[in-house]
Amino acid sequence: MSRTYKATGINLKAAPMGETDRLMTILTKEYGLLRAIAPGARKHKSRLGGRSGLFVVNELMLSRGKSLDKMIQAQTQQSFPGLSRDLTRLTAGQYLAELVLCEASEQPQAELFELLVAHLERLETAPTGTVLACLAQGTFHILALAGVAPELHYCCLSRTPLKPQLGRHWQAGFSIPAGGVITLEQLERLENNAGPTDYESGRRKHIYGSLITTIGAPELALLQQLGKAELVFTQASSLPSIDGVGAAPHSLWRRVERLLRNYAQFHFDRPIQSAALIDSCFASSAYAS
Amino acid sequence: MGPKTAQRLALHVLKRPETEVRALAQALVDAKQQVGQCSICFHLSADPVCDICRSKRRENQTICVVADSRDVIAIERTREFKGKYHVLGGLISPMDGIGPEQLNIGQLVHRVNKDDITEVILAISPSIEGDTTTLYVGQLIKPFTKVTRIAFGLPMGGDLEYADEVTLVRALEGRQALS
Repeated sequence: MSRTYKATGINLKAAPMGETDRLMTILTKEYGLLRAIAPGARKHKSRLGGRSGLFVVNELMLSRGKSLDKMIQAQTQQSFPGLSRDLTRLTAGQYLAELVLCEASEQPQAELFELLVAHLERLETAPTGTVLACLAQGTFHILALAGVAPELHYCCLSRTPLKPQLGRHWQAGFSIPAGGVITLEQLERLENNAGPTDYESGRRKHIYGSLITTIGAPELALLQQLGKAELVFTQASSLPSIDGVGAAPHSLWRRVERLLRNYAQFHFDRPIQSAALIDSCFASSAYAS
Repeated sequence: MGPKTAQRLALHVLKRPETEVRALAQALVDAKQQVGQCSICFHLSADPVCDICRSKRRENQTICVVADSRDVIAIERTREFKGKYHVLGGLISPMDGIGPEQLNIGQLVHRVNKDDITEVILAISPSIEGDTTTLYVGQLIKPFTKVTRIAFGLPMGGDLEYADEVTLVRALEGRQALS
């Protein structure tokens, strides 16, 4: 049996190994997540140097090893230089990569691979001011592919359809354990029936933020748009307007992103480390509104 | 260090006279006890303030920001840079949970704000973590002074034909007008 094989993959993580090698974590279409050594990749004249950078899509030739496979050849298909020019795009890209690392397995992952590449392309070319919206949509699509996307159109508990009424003081609930939006009546029922918090749920609440919260009509309207293949922005005002919702200030997108983040952390049962830098980037004055 | 190199060193130590081995052991203990960080630039130093920060022959107005003390040693080998340094102590790596607050970034901002600094050169390796750190630090320091970053691209002696696509893209992006 041949010890070499080919794969198409995107580099998601790289760590120094030994004197000049690099240990790569690659999401491949054919074999899912794999770890391989890029020998000599940290040497200045290595042909694998640039190709072993993060977010580089390569056609790879790998050789099977006892414990780790070895990268023999790499031919770059795509890289995302635009991400490295803007801190918010770069951080958002790493956030999506971390989510993908949570979801990926060692089975063929062509869909996840294509989804990540598509969202990195969007982040790279997104108009300024829409990065957070692109990140929220990327998060939602990754959750959807994992089969754990939150329900946003019907109450998770009563199956009542939920249509946000913009321009009025309209509210709904969002329950992470229930799996998405709930009506206010169900929210009140949950709150009234809530017994003393047990240790486990208390711990999860502490780690993943509020498990049950209220959301307004604009937030739900934005959340309901995320399932679409693409978000259509119009630049009618200084803020990106979204079909049916109007100009959504960044503070609203931050709340939407935070909801999805808490939801993803709950379902993947691990904190998203990149989130801290996302908060720091989008809390800066340029994004405050 | 690989197992073969480790074995070679261990056998070499066993062959040397006991006085030499004791001296080596004492030197290692002394290094551990005496070498710390410079209170200004965070480079390795046996004194509270390192030789570079103390030097009167170096320019006080230029700071070269590096990730690690090894980078200071590498740049010093060039004998071209006459300014001072600031060692961040690592790179921002959001996916590994390493944030700006774990590095010496606050101290750099304080230093730039306090002293009369005319240029900050960011000499950080071109990687996703390196770019994240460069952009983050640049964003913080820009209001106070001129911020530049070192050029990236083809290594000296390297053939264009053999350069990888990612390096070539960087080299094209960083092109300069002929003077």
